[in-house]
Amino acid sequence: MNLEGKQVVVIGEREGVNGPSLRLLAESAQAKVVFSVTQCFV
Amino acid sequence: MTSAPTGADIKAFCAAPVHALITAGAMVASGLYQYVVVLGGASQAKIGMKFRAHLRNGVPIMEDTLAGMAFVVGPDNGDGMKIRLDLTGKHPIGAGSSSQAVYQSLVVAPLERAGLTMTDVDRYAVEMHNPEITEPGDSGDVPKTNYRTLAAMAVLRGEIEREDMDEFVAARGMPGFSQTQGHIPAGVPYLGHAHAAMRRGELSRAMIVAKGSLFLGRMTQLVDGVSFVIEPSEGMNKT
Repeated sequence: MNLEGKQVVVIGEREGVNGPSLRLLAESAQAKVVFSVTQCFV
Repeated sequence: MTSAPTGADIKAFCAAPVHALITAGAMVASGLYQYVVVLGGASQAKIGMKFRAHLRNGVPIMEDTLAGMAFVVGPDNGDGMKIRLDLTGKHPIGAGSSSQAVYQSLVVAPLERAGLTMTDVDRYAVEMHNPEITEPGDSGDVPKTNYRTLAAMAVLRGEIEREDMDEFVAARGMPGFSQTQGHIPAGVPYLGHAHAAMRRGELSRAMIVAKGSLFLGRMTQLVDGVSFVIEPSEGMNKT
């Protein structure tokens, strides 16, 4: 999946991969994170 | 006791039991009250929360328990566990919300203040969800993930070698055993077991950790959490 130029909504998991980590991943792939939150779904 | 008791709620979602025990300890230590009972139950609204994942994976709806717990906090009677109020951890605003930042605040910082290392704690109790329930619910093994994060931090701090991570997890962690919904959160399900282990002389220091979530209350996006250390009373009976 090529995220370059895409807008990304991040929903992270407190007990897994959280929002800030997903933001780093998305931005490293040249995506723009428009919203980021960490939930707890466990 | 010379008068009837009163009570109040401490609302902190999955960190609530640990906040409540620290608050109870502080009340007793200050002389405000002699005995404080910390008691709580499960969230009825979360029963069967992951039912779709469980049914999709061919298992019954296992989140079907309403659990309860109670602890008595009071003066040292020689057979209890001391709450080390000088070794509490918190996750302060601005600390960052990565897993490493959370555990740096909750676990490492209070130990550093006391001149202790992560290997000076015999056992850590984190969110103790039973993986037999969470793995078919597509949530992974929560305690194991947390323990491996702690082990990785111990490696980064030079306290253990990388090849000793599995041994750290086995020796200082434990398999998850708590019901998930409605669950008793954080590390407090371990407290009864810790007491028994201290009576047997097998445990000299444990850390009870909670990772909470202000975001569950939709107050902020911040993570919150607290921790405390427990040790045997000086004159603990060993039976």
